[in-house]
Amino acid sequence: MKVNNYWQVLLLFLFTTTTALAQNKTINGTVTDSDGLPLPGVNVLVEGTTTGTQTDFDGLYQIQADVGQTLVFSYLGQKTETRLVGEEDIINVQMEEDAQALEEVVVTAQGIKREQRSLGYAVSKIDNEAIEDRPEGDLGRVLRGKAAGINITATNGVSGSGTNIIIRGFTSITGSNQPLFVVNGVPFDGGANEQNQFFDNVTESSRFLDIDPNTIESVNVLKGLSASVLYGERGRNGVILITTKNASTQGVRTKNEINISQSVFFNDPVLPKYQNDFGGGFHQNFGFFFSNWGAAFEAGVLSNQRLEQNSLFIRREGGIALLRNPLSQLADPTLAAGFEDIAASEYPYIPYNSVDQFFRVGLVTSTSVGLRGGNENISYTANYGYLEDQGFTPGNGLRRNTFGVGGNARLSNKISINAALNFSRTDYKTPPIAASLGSGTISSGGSVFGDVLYTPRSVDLFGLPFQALDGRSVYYRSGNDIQNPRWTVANAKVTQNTDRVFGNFNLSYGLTDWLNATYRLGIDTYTEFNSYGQNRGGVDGDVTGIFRTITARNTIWDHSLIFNADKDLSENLNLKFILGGTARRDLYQQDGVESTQQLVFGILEHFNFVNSATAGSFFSGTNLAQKSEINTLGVYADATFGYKNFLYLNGAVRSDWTSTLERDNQNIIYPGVSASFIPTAAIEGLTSDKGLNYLKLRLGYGTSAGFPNPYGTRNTLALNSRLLVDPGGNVLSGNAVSNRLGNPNLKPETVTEIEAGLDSKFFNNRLGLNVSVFKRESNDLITDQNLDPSTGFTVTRINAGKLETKGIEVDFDITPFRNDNFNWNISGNYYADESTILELPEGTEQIALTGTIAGVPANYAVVDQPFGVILGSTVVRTNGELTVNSNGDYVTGQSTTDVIGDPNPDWTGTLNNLISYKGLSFNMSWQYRHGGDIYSQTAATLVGRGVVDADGKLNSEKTFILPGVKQSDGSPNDIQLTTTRIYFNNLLFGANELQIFDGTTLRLAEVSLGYNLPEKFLEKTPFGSLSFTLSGSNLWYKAFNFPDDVRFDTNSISTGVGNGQGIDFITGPSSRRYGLTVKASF
Amino acid sequence: MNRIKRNRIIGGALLLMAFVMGSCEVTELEILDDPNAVAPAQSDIDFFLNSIQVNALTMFEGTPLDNNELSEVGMEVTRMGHMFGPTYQAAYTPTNLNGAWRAVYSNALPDIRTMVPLAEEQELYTHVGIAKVLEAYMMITMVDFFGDIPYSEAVKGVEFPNPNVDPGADIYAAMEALLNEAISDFGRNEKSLPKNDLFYSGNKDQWVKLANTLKLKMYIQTRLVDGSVPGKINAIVNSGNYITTAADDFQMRWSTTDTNPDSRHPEFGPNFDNGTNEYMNTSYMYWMIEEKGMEDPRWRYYFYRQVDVNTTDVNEQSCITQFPPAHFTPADQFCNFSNEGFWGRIHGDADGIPPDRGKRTTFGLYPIGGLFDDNSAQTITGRNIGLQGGGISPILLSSFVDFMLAESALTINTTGDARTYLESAIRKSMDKVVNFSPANVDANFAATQTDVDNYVSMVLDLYDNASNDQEKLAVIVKEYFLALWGNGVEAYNTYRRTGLPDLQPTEIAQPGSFIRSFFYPQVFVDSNSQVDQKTDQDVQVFWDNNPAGFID
Repeated sequence: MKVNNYWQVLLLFLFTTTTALAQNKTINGTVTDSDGLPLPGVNVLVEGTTTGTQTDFDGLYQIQADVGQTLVFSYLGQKTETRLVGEEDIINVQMEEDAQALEEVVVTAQGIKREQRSLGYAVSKIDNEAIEDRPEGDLGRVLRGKAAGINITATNGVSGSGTNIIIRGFTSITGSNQPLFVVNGVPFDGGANEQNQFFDNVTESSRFLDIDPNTIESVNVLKGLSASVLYGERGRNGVILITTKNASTQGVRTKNEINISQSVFFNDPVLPKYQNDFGGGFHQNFGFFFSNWGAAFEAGVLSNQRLEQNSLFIRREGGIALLRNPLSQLADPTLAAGFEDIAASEYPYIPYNSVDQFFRVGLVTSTSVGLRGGNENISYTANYGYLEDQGFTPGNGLRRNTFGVGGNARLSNKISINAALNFSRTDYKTPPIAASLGSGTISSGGSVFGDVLYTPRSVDLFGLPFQALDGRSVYYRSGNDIQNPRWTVANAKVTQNTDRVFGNFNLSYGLTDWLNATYRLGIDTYTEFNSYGQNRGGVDGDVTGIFRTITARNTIWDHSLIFNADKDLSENLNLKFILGGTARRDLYQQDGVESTQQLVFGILEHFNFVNSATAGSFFSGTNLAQKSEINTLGVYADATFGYKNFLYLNGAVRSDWTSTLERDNQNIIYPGVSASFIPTAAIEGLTSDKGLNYLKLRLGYGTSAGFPNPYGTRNTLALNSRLLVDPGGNVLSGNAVSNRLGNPNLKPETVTEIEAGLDSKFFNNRLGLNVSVFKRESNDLITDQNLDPSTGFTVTRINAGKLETKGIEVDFDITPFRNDNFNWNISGNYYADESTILELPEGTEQIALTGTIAGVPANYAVVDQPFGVILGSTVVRTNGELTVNSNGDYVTGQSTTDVIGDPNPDWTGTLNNLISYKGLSFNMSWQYRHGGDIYSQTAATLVGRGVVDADGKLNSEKTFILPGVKQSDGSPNDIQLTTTRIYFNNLLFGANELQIFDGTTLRLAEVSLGYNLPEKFLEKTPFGSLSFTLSGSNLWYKAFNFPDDVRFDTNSISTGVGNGQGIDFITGPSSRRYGLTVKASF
Repeated sequence: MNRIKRNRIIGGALLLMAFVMGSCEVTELEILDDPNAVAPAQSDIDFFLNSIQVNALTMFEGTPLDNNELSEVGMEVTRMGHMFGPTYQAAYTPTNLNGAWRAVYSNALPDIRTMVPLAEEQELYTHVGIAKVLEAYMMITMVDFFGDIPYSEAVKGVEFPNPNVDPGADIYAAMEALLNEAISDFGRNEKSLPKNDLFYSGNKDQWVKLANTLKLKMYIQTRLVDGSVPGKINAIVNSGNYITTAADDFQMRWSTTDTNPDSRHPEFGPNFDNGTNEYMNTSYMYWMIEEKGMEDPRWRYYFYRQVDVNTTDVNEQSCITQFPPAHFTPADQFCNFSNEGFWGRIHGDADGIPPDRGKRTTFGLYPIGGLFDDNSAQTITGRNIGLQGGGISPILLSSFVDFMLAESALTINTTGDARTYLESAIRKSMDKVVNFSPANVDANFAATQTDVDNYVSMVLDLYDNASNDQEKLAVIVKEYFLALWGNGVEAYNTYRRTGLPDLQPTEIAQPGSFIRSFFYPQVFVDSNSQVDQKTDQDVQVFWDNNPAGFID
């Protein structure tokens, strides 16, 4: 479809509608609220006709009517007023708040606004105040803790890295559990196009990073299926509805207004607290090793004195042992060429603060400018945002420019148009981050964190060269087998540059006063330019140098036609009806080249490499060029009956067709029903000011479906154009029956959910309490089933398995004190869920949820176990006791698939305190996570290699006994071990269960102190308002059951965006951010 | 607003929807063929054959990303390579041999099943014959390593989603028949020869020789359980139509191309691209350098020392201050046997890795294509060394055939003289190794004809002085092992068949019973509801009727 066609049709459409019919008389007036303030946006309608208008910004309206007709003034949250048209030309109306005026209007599915009271399900609304001017530029991370039931995890602390979002637990095993993003009513891709298995490198951004949180008017989160049924199968994981300021139709302005805000934040890493007693080596013997179990630094200690027998010892000066420089000990002396003076220098054996020196405090600046204006019929907005986010890791940074324009026009009484268009450019770079097991990287990629965090204390990272004259990495070990992290920063980088355009065009036509039709077009397209490069001479990955570029384009076209009716069937019965159809088309295409064998050192461009390939050399080895195409068609209907103002019944149904399944299975119909009952409105006398003010009970049942990724139903033939190069240089090609067995009978998976809840207000609205409980069941899960290769295939996609999630969400809001000047508000939420696998395909014991590495724990689906349970090896038990072997070390069992941890937190909670006094406001937000196991290589490595003390310092010069019994006779263990053996052989390299830590964490997530200048100060200035805010995020946290000094941040996930959780492979620390924001309007 | 206008608007909206929904690709729901692959009907017989050949090699040698497949593990358990251990149970995870299982079952066999009927239709009989010979080699080898495995129910997709195993003996019998079919396929007139053939460049005579040699190998392998084999062996030997010269060797010659794809010997990249990796086995080096009091002329081709003197730093080699374990006899090598930098590890040494990558002894010129040891004793820092990985995979060499025939002549009195076969086997091996790549050999250190002659006569003296057939067999098998460098498959088979050579113990006293057959790979037992994992690794394959605990 060409864009041109739309515009031709639309123009045709617009010119057909111009005039309105004349009436006898023109009536003017002002509509005000109960305080006498003008009320914009009030609907004014001549009863029984289709003639209507809205009040403007100053509450003014003008309408034509006949004498004897009745004007109806309606506004949500206000009692509807009627006035008979008499002789007078001016009718002023003061509206009164509805007695049940706790009515919030929320945006529900397909952008339809509904009174909160009429909803039979929970919708969380997050206002712009909670999103704007935050130290994080990533919307996902800003939303963390803002509503119950939304679990948000950063993939790591690097600026621009991906963010994992799970709403109300998991619904699919191998499918995506990420929510649908809808921006201004149209779908928006929030995916992370990860180009590698996570263990090779995971740095890709989540594409919702392209939205500037400062341009957002509001975010609504549809969590349950009865809320999201109109979004079809893509809404099954929850929907994040974003309304940007440029698309908002609220508050049409007649005056032009400019808002500017400027923030500066510091991005300060939270690093482990290293010990300063011992240096590199093993068993108190000094050596230039990976581990830090060497001699003491203090001269009097025995192990330090033993240094004098070491072949590297030269002499002492002031008690400090001076050693031969590690550079002089390299097995390959050419590495030290040009650094002879350093190699010859004496090397003091003291603790160095190498890691602290390596990281930096990043500076984050954010600017946003907004402009809005217009008149009662036409309004416009424009905004610009700029974010420069400097990572705390050298070489990491994010720069984002966003532009948006939007407009609203009411062309006649019946037609309105609004459109918004946004452009964003996001440039992101970082050193590579591959998984590390505490001994270099695991796989084909490099890792800036895996090589630096456990640097032995005696290694002077900044006193040694990191790069040989010919460019090779140089470091302290004689075999030179660790890539110097400074070399990594200088020579390896991953970039992702994205240009994105997204927008929506809405055309509404009022067919009658109770029925209107809307056509909506959404477009979201971006081009992502990815590169991964490392100069030649590294140690990790391809040492000849590698440069890979991948260009990806993702496009979503979305067309909707919606009929929206709202009619009073009788005095007491109202019907709201929606009928819609939607067609969505997703296109993804990527193309890439990988080059190896760099010619001139330092230039990462394809022309500078000898070999080029179109397949990646990393683990997956897949073709870099790929494409996919998915079409989804849906029709839906939704009816809500409202009886008086206390009983609402809603029924919805949607039917979807997908292009990813064979014809017989491509359609699925799924319904949802919900009800809402407001006893406080139904039963007189139930309410009292000092007691119950408002109570709503709701019940919802919703269903949804899940469609598979494309191309799983048919067999294919894999073609490998470059299978092998023979000694004569001939390229052999191969074709082979694909390992995936196509399943033509694949059908959609289904999800059903029952949700019940209550919303209530007490004590003069000082206490609000909302509770929801839900139970969700997924059936016919679309699952990749591994086949025994002796069937001839290794995998097929099937419908099997069952997953159940139960949960509870509580939101509360307490105002202990309020008056004109002082207000204290406490709010928060609580969430707990439990996802359990009820069935898996017959014969399947477990399904891995992420890529797996041989011998390393991972998340799995296992029957009767929580979703994502961590499987790995355990210590052999004898009569329930840990067992040690004849050396005194724990015996690791044979199985690598024992349950060693449940990564799901038992519950999470947030507590916010907001205190305001006149223009001052202070806000503090605490977040708590209870439980949830984490397999942490960071903790195991830092302690296991002896650079960070475990809780309760062990004296390394002494020996200890591991608790347990002996394998030989079951008697209590009495075999003495050195601390090196305890931590290195057992904690770090023993059974996997020893590297599991409980993830309970308390976090001071946000603090802010703001001051709004009083208006009288600003009278003689051009400012309409001016405010200053000091704020910080992630300022303090404590993971209670981790070794304290590791300072591990449990809010990270090394497996990237996906279905993994609680897995840490040293993918970096997190940071605290703090700074100042100034906001002004003119 | 009047009705006409309203209708025009509705009409406009419908027109618009029609535009969107009707005339547009947005409503297409038949997007089911993967644009990232080709349809099965678009296949090419030559391409199939290439894939099949490469997968047969993957089973044997692995790939640069996963080089731990059958030959490698065979070398490790027989002390040609270094097994980490410390026990036989702990040495290999169940996922270890997944690669070999996939290479055979989900890669090579489906391609063969798909290709053969298409090739027969197109009268490409040589393609068919090659596929059958390779299938036979793969299935025989898989039986040798795993025992009973799927065959009759294998590669039938949804028909047998959980294929059951067939007895190893049945598969051997089926493979004998398949080799005979292949031989007759080679006898037919084909439309055209394969465009590529990594082993014999499409030479049908050589493929027939290989087919006969594989039968010969099967007969010798089953000599303990099948009394009928001597006649069959004699028939093939008498025909002369088997691999007798190096020109007919069944081997893969790799190239020096290191990327897109890495086509070097699969051991080369993992060992030299990012610094050396594997340890050499101390006892195997000892055999070649010290044991006979005469250096084996091949050792400088097999190994490369990065240092020429042993370390004195206990942090680099912890064994230098340790005593040999109590169960080691004085004849068993522990730690270093000389002070010339032969830096290896003993069987089952599972210590952590000290900073010794730049110092340990590593693979040499033959067969993986590294460096000739010319006493230069330099740390290897890059991949551009020696043959740059353009080595060979010695799958079935003429020397190996003579060793086998020496064994069968001695043990089951097949035709020919064991001593003659032994001498010819050693000489063929020496010829192969010494002439492997003269350009990469320093003439000052190259093996001379005199070295070879002296060596041969010394071995023959050992043979002649052996007091009985068992001792004579020990001489033959030990020399076979020394010639097998680079081929763990035949070493592993020979050790279980003959109980020879006498291998040194594992570092710990009780490493568990020797692996008489490997555990089934994890991809097999985890996904197959019909088959359970073996209870132990001492399950013997059908041709191994030696007693339990016969070898360790």
